[in-house]
Amino acid sequence: MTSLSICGVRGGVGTTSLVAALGHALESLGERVLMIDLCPENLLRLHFNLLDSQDSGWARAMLDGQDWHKQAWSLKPFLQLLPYGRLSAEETMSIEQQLLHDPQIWARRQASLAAHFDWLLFDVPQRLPGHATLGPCLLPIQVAEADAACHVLLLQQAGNNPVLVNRFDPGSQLQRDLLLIWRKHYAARLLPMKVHADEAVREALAFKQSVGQYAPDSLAAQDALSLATWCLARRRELT
Amino acid sequence: MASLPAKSQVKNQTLSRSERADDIARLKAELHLPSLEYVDVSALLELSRAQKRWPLLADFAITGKQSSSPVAQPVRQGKFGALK
Repeated sequence: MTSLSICGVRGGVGTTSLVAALGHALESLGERVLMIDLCPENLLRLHFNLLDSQDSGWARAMLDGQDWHKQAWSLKPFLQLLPYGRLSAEETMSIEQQLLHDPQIWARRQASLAAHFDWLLFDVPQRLPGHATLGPCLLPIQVAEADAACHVLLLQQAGNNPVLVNRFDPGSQLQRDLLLIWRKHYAARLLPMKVHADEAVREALAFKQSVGQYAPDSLAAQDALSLATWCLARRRELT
Repeated sequence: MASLPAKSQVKNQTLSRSERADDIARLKAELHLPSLEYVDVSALLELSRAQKRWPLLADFAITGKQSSSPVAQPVRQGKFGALK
């Protein structure tokens, strides 16, 4: 089992849509996938038409003393989703405190899921360090848009996690320039593929679907498939 | 499915992705001349232009080893013996 997390360099770069697209793409390649929504916004479920699940989720279950692993929804035989659940802001902070107090929670959960899945895909929120604390994660991907804010933030953060460019528009001079600079500076950190800006991604959510399901021939769906293929190759290299 | 010979695959893993896509880097590796002094002037100029085009990127310029262009002056004509 391989854990992969997707976290934005800043908010609003499209991480949740990417998790949905990547989950769909990996499943289409025959992998057993569990997508886990760590974001209190609880939006990942909407990409899979789970309107009924608005209350239940792993965080809700923790507060209510229920089993977190019974909150997962089976979308396809090999594709499952564990929503966050509906919580008030205070309840989310209570979960944050619990996660900070016991940083091994997800490491234990990941271990218990290992036999059942090939991939755990985590949608990681901004500015909630407890929520972002995972166990071993082979591919902790940071998502950036090729804009000046992400450029400054990447310089300030000085990490070493792989960086994926999302919503890339090759017609933009600024984006082309930034990609040139990033390719030179970040070299191997920058993923070899990028996900192009594509209206199909926004339309897919409005249709309660992942982009691969809504528009399999769209540019973004093809990019997600490339990303999934890259993930399989990296897993082979790193394990 | 077609695949590269095993020897070539092993070699490729030692090169970074940008090197694999870079003919000059490949040539250096093939010829075992890692110290060959070759400056891709057009690529560096393009990088320099990209940083200068946007004031914020100029303020937050990445100060890597080769991030600034080594070509402060026009390239000397005749350096390669073209002009006598």
